[in-house]
Amino acid sequence: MSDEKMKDLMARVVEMAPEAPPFPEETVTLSPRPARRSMRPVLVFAAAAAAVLLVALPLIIFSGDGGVDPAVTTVPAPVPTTSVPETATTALPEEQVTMQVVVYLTQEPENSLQGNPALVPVRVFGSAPEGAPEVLAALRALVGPTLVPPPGLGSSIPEGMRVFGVIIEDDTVVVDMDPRFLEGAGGFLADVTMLNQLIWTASQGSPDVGVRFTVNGAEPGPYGSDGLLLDTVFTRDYFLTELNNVVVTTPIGPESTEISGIANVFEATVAYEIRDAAGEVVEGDFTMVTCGTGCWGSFTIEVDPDLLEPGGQVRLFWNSPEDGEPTNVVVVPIPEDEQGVWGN
Amino acid sequence: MITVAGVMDNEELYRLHATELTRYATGLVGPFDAADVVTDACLKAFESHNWGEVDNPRAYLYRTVFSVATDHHRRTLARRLREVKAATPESVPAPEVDVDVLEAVNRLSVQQRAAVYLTYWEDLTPEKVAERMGVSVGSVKRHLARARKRLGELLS
Repeated sequence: MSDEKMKDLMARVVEMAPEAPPFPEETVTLSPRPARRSMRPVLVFAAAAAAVLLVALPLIIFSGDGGVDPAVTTVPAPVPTTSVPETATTALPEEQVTMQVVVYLTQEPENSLQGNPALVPVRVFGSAPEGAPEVLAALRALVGPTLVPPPGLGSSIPEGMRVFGVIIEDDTVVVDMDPRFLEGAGGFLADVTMLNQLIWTASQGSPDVGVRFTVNGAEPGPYGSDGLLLDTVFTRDYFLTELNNVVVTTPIGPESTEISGIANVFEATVAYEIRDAAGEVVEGDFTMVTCGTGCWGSFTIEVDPDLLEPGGQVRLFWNSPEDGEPTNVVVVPIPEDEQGVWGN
Repeated sequence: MITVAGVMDNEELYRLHATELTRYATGLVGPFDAADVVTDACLKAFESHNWGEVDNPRAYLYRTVFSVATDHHRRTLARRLREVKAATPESVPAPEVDVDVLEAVNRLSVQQRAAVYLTYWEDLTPEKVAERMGVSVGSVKRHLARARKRLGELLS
């Protein structure tokens, strides 16, 4: 279609535009919210210390009996300011930029006695301050309150969790979490699944990069119900034993042409089915993994996008050698959006 | 600090950009829901915790309109069109609706609609469109190519 025709089309669309709505009056009675970022503990402590000093200062100065060493008034408040270096976090907005990002959600195994949660990457919209790393937008979308998991997917990350910032250091992504992070997600498997979600989401730019956690800019203390130590750089393979044996690593949309992932499956064979919105299998086949039966390998499946119907799903699994039943099934829903973006 | 002046600024800003935002929203979700999208987007922007620190409010409002529009399922427009077609002339309070055009636009993703609108109505470069949408220039070009192809098929 020529540029002229496109312009003409847009002109016809604009002609249909209604009158602009009136100014939304409700805002007159609303005060725009103050910055949502709550004071960090060290800052609260600093503020409290400053307040104590302010109250105490006249008493100290005017105590008159010499019982208080005047030097006390000059002692700086014991604020561990060095524990929060300025560079530890990406400061909250200037202007937020919205972008498409990938977040890793979870899927419970069909039989919890036989499998672990699966990770499923989905494309959503995230936002971060202009100039901040994209991965910050992804992590904030992952933990944020507006994320609505697609059908069949969920998240181990408790509500209210926050990512303070991200720094990219060579081949490591440093993720600064709020202190609530250390409480974990309620049980060992949920704790590890939350770490997996964060690690896989943070390393989406390159699966080989490491992820290190800080809390409020400082080294984290014991984590979760088992008091795990997080004083290391995590890579995607760190907690593989707590994941489903088939992991998809490419978000799937109606225009996808390939699906990639890693798997540790019998005879290095991953089977897949593409189902339409009515649940009918429109294609079923298998592909080889680069390593199998006791080791993890990678796989890629070429798919015909015409078969990927919005509302349908792609199922990946391996067939049990005992009874041929699909095992460790991962079900990836196909979104409506052409680019594979789920609304959030 | 929030003052009455700050609220007045919002109103002034709104008056300045409401018409162009409504046109943009029409390009994204059609004429039936454009006003709602603009209202929702502006409320969302004005109540945003960082609204007071935004350097370029116009660009921010555009992005918020885009964000709100993406929440609108594309079937919404399809449903509206079905209602228009099914309605008797008397029951349609009738904005002039070009059903063929809207049906064609409805076959595009919201991203494609945004890229087409910003390119062919606002005459922005792919770089500016990418900035406005918060996506890469490559994505914008892909959206445009697919949109042109699809519209060409539908309207030929």
